[in-house]
Amino acid sequence: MSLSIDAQLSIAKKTHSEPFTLDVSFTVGNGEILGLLGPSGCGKSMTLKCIAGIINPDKGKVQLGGVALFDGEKGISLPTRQRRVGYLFQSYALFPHMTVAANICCGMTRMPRESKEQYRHRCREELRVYLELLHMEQFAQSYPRHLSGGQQQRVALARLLASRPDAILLDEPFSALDDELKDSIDQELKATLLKTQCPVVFVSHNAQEIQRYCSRTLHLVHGHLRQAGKSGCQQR
Amino acid sequence: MFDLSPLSISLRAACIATFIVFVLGTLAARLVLGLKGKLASFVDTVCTLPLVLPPTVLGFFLLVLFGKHGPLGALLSQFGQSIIFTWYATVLAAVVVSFPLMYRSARGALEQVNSEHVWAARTLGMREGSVFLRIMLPEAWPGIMAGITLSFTRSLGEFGATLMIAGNIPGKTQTIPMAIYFATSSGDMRTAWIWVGLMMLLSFLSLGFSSYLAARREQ
Repeated sequence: MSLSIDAQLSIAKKTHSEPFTLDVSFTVGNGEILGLLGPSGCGKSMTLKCIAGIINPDKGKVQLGGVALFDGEKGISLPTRQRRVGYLFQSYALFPHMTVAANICCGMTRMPRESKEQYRHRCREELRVYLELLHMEQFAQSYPRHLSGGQQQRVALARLLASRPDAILLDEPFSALDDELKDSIDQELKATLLKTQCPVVFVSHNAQEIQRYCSRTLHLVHGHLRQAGKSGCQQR
Repeated sequence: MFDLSPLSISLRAACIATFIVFVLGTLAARLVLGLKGKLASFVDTVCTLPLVLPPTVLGFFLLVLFGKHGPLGALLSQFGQSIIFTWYATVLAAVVVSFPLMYRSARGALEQVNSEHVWAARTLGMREGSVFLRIMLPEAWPGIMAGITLSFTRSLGEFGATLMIAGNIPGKTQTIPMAIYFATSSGDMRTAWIWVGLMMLLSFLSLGFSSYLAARREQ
């Protein structure tokens, strides 16, 4: 299942006389982590929002595994809920009034022909698996405000994984963490992401971060893609 | 023997009206947030209008609508029902006058809900209904609670519209404000004082209760 986007969008900004235009086109394969690198305000988050259906492009296409999520010509725009795209927000967007466990269970849905009892049982099972995977067992009943930045990130990731997305979008996942914590989380997160076999788009303004995670990097400047290639051999 | 019936009439009407207004006002607020442009401002204006209109004007319209020859009144009379000059009219009047307070509080509170939380919920596959009930409402709850308190106290104090559509039937539609008015005008100051004191106590208690809830939430 691969993710492809080819989208154009222009947005009038109050502070500028010229509208901001976004023009991106790329494909991410199964189990590939694609880096989207650029300074703030270059349209990285906007690209993710177009994929998730939070913003609609003016024209273009967004496809996931052959299914059109958005198609300007045919007038298709699936609602966010049906896109099966996991989105890790920069602020993690944990629900403040829910415990860690409730947050994680939010994305689980009852299967057709599954009884309420079976569903509850499966939720408990899956919750245990994800808490264990991200080492958050002892925090199941805590509220997000009592967690550190790194712990919040892991809860957000667990919640995302538990919703079984077909593609994963990470918006500056480390911007709220300090450097030491970043290094400790690094390898585990990468392994977890690869295990899902989803196409992953990793957005960051930090070239080092992107290099550690991504096999391929795209540079986004003023809403346009600059160059593409292996991040390992392409040093600016 | 002092007649306490206005107290129970008022309290019952205010409680039921507040519940109805909580549901209607919150849904209306959610609806308006989903609208755009001129339609949004129009619906917003209509929902807020009862706040600035004199209660007698509201009472007049209710009378026109629910009176014997009004469209809704005629419909009800086919089922052998009538609202005007019954206890239900006190509820109806309270609903109409307190609706804008609930609507505006709810709209303000829902606007404050972190939009990333809402979008996160959608990316997790939650239906719009669950997003509203499980994410937006709990996050907006302090503001909605404030709206509930305001609506309750306003319902309790409703006079103008109630007088027009419910009248002043002791033991049936006579609410506390009504009792105060008619006691005063007939020179029965002792009764008026009792009801005024009780009214102040009730309003004080409900506002105090809501600020207590707000303070407890902040801890």
